[in-house]
Amino acid sequence: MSYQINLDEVDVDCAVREAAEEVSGDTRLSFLKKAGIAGGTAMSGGAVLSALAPNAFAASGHGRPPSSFGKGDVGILNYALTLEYLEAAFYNGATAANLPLSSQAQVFLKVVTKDENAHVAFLKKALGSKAAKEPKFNFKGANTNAEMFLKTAQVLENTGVHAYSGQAVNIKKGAYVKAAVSILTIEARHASVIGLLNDPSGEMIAPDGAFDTPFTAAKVLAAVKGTGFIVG
Amino acid sequence: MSSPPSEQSEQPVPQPAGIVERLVRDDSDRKKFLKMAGAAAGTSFGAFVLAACGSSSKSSSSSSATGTAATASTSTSSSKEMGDLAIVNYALTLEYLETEFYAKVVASGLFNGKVGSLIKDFGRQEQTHVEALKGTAEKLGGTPAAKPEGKFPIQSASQVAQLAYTVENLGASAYLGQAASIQSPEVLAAALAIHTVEARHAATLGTLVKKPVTPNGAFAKPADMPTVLAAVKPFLA
Repeated sequence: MSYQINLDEVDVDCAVREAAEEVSGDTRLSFLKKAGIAGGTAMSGGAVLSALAPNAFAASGHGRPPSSFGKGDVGILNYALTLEYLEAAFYNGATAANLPLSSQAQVFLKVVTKDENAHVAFLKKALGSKAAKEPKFNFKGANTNAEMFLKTAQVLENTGVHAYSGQAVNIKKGAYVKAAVSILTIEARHASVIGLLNDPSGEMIAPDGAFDTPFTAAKVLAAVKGTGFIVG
Repeated sequence: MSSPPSEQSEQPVPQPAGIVERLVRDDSDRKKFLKMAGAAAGTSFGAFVLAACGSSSKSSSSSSATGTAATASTSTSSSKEMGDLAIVNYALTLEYLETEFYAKVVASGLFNGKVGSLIKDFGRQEQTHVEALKGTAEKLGGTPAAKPEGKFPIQSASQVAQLAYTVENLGASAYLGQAASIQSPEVLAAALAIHTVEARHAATLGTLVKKPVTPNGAFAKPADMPTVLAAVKPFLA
């Protein structure tokens, strides 16, 4: 049984038609400002990690992304796209930096770089003209230093899991649910692998234990803003 | 400065981790939950799973199994008919088998040290999934599927690790195959909270057996019910 996410199914302007409130592609900066994730104060080192690190407590609600991302499912897909842009740019930068990584970490970087860029391409295509444009990023050395890279990657991947699982239940269209969960599971796989690489005790394979924790968009966006990685 | 976006609209939907706990421990919102679960079928799906796998009948099992699987295939594509309860009991059956598998692996003593402790952790998490899904089935007003009897080839560490990788990947793809069919947001949230942990196990085992951690690339591949049941069949006693 061959399976692939069908872009005709997960398409563009038909579901996007439901979006009365359009997010037009040419207002990237104001879009991000509206979303509240541009222009965060620069942070570095541990501050970045603590800003993104998942709280021990479960999310307090099932908050959707702010309407500036678009209405309904479009908003959720654009929220996901923005997070995927961030991950892809982070890994693309790390790849370009030729970091001195262990062979296992090199394999990890290769896999995640490929996967996250594929997620970006998929979501952009699915959203078509409604796709949010790529923000400008400044990772402040977090992807050009091997140790910081490994730690930050773990936080980013777990944040991806929290973010997708927070929104999957808010998605209306079945085809989008399939696509989102199909991506969610990949983020979880990445997270476990980098968790084990960073902590051979295995404690970070599934840091939330038997059940992964969903986060509201507000919580994820506040964390992303806190990193200062998105600068415009 | 770092306050959340002001236009954030918080939906008053309960959060999944809490749902799982509540489902396991508490009866208070049973009524509301049942209302959301809608027309969940009241039948025990465990019997169906076992019948589909042909586990008990010896002579005519293959033809009846095929027939049942074909029926399952049809209803999977429009699984509103199947209902959330059937999906929960399907997941429960798989989690039972995973739990038993890990218990037998631990008992085999094939793994020590770090890997042994990972295997124990994974087994405990599968047991927790079993408890959560049993509670979910009851909250849906149904009878939790009965625990099936498993049989697993346990020969060597490398063979078992490989089998664990296969089993976890199957589990992850089984959840993924049902995600879009689940009607209740609560049940979906609970299923996803479990599903990603299956994926974490699968990827971790991939690193141990030097197999791809994302065997289907950037998008995980779902498996429908007949496919999963056929794959599970050899592990039913």
